Amino acid sequence: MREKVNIDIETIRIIYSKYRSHLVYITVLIVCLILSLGFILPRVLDLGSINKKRQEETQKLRTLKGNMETLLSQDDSSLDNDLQALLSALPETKDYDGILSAISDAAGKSGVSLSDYQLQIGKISEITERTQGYPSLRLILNLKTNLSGTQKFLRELSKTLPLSNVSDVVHEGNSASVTTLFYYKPFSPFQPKEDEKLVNLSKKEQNLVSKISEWNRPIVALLEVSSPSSPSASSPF
Amino acid sequence: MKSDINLLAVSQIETVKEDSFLKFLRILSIGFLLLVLFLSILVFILTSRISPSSIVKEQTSIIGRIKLLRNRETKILALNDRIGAVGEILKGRSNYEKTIEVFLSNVPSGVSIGSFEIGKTEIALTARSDSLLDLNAFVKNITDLVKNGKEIKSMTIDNIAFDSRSGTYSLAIKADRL
Repeated sequence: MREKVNIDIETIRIIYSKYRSHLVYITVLIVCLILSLGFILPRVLDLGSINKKRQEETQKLRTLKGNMETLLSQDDSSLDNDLQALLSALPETKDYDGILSAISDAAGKSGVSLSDYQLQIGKISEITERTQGYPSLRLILNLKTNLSGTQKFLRELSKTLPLSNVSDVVHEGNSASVTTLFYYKPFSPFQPKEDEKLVNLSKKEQNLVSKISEWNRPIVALLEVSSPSSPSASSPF
Repeated sequence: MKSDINLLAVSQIETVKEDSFLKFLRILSIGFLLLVLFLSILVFILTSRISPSSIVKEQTSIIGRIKLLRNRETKILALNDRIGAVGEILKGRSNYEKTIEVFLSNVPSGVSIGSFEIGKTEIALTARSDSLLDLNAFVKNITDLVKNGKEIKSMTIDNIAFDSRSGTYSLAIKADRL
């Protein structure tokens, strides 16, 4: 059976006066312990993640500084020129005028006669888009020329913008049928990301742009780049 | 002689023990207090030293400057996007013009090309001549192209025919492009 202990106020007072000094120190110890466990320890544990965040932010700052340098190292006019050349090579939309001008230009320069052409658009292009990576327009060109003339035409066409890719050539007697794909590429929505590194064109890419800039750019294609909605650009045919 | 004689009363012994315990408690609590104080200052200094707030402030300033050049940034992104595609298309193009040139330069006089078909992987052509010797020379030239690894990797003679009305021989060749 448990023995009942009676503690009255007087007893507590006696105990308190006897152990008062002890209580102060014990209270200090308890407070210190609470401070250590409740405040200091979590902050110490946080130090690792704060340091990690600092490293991430430092990296982001480095990227931003690099991007800033990249932006300052470029001038708008050379960027515009490069972009114009690349848009002439690979238009944003189906550039019918540019394509027909390119064919006309290549035919004129190679001295071949273009008897007719057939432009296939719609579903066939959709299939091409999936199989070759970029959307394209398929064009079947019928030329009146010998094999040497066809060869010259192909040479001229390969150096004329917009970019084309000949898939088949069938030559019979004095006529040839050339199947060509003309590519285009819509702009993907550009969402500049702050932590993404912005890079200038490499030396190799700059050389490619220079090479393309020297290729034939029929007048209509140039007009198309400078004023994309120009309705006055007409077919040379 | 006895040396362990206790001259203190029991109550006095307890008081000494209590005092020493109190002393120990005092030292412990003060030490602990000082340790907590030291650790707090150390953590505060470390936290403020490695805090990324100053870096974030600098970032905000640079982002503000970059925003002013947003137009230029978009142009660079567009250039990078387009150059990759242009490079890929050019890489994937077949140089038919060169293939035709190579074939034409190997056609001996006296042989004419009737038909010529060229695709991504195959070439099919018909050559005509009134002399089998000339056609033989043509076949030899084409065989040399295969041997030298120029434009084609293999060749098959599909058909040889003689047209008695025109008195010409025709030769059909199929070749696989390199």
